[in-house]
Amino acid sequence: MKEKTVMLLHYITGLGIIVAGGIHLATVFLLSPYHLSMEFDNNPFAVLSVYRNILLAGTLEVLLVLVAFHGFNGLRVVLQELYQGKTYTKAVNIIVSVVAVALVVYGTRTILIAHQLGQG
Amino acid sequence: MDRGEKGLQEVKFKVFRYDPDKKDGKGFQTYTVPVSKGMTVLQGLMYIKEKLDQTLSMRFSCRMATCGSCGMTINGLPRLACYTLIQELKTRTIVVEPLRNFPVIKDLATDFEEFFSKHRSVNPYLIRIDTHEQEKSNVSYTQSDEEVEKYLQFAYCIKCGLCYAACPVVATDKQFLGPQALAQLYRYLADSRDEGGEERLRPLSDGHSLLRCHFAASCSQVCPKGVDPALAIQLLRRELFLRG
Ligand code: SF4
Ligand code: FES
Repeated sequence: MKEKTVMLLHYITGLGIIVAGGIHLATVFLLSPYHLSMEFDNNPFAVLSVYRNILLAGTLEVLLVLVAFHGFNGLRVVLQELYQGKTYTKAVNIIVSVVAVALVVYGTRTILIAHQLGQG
Repeated sequence: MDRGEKGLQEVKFKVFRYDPDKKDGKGFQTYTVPVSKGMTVLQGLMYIKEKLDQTLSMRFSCRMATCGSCGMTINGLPRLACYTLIQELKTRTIVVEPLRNFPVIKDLATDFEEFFSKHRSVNPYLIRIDTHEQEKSNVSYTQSDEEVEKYLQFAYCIKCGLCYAACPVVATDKQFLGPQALAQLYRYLADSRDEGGEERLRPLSDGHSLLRCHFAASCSQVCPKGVDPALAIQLLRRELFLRG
């Protein structure tokens, strides 16, 4: 991907985090069963019922992708500012991308499992 | 400020000294300078050079904030020595150091080679498709007030390097063009007589030249000519995303 496009996505994901984060928080505070789940303090799985709500689970997934992109790209930029060199830049790009994708995959898996458990 | 002989006030100048030919040639030296009303830091340094220590090296020329050669770090900030009144600093000791982000040649004189090569790299002149017409024609390229307004403030740059010295990104990323060169690039891009267009933007799409700017805006804070390089950088960024 061109550096120009990556940076444009960096700004878009930054704005997206504010929007998705807002929707996520609004969902958490306004929709049940989140506040109900907090009352089920004897049941450790009660909080999973939150993930039953597709809007909440969905915005969490969107947030995961946006934060992973924005955060890891920020880290990539910081690392590239520390030192400049062709091999180093390439290595930083690859390592950061792999870690970001792995994190998204793992996070998605967690959200999906929680969503399914929440149904039960 | 203390009162010295002849009733003049005195300040201490703590000046950075560096001699590349000496082994331990780095450090600070303090001088006492009598100060009169309206005296500038440059005049203080000239007093030191004339009366106290002729080995002190610095760069200056016009003494009226026009040539851009007397930039140095004064009490921690990049400033023009000829444009900084001793009284306005309101300190008994004035610390004078070379500009940051520039290699030091000797004492307060810094090497502008990299700075000027970045300036040259943005083709700081009008690009016309018909170069023959540009060189031979006696037709003038007229502009409306609005067209001039678009780039005028950026044309006031005197290439003093203060913005470059203040930039935290220049300090870490040597490939970043820096606020001065980018402001000049925008100055020509925004000029209605220029036909460089996308060609000017193309080199900026790598990660370092433009996109590394973090909006610190320290460049605009220190510019002695009221140029706003931070604004130019954001306008350039917009141009790059829209048509680069
Ligand atoms: S933009 Fe201002 S601070 Fe930077 S080189 Fe030009 S005049 Fe100096
Ligand atoms: S001596 Fe020319 S700008 Fe200071």
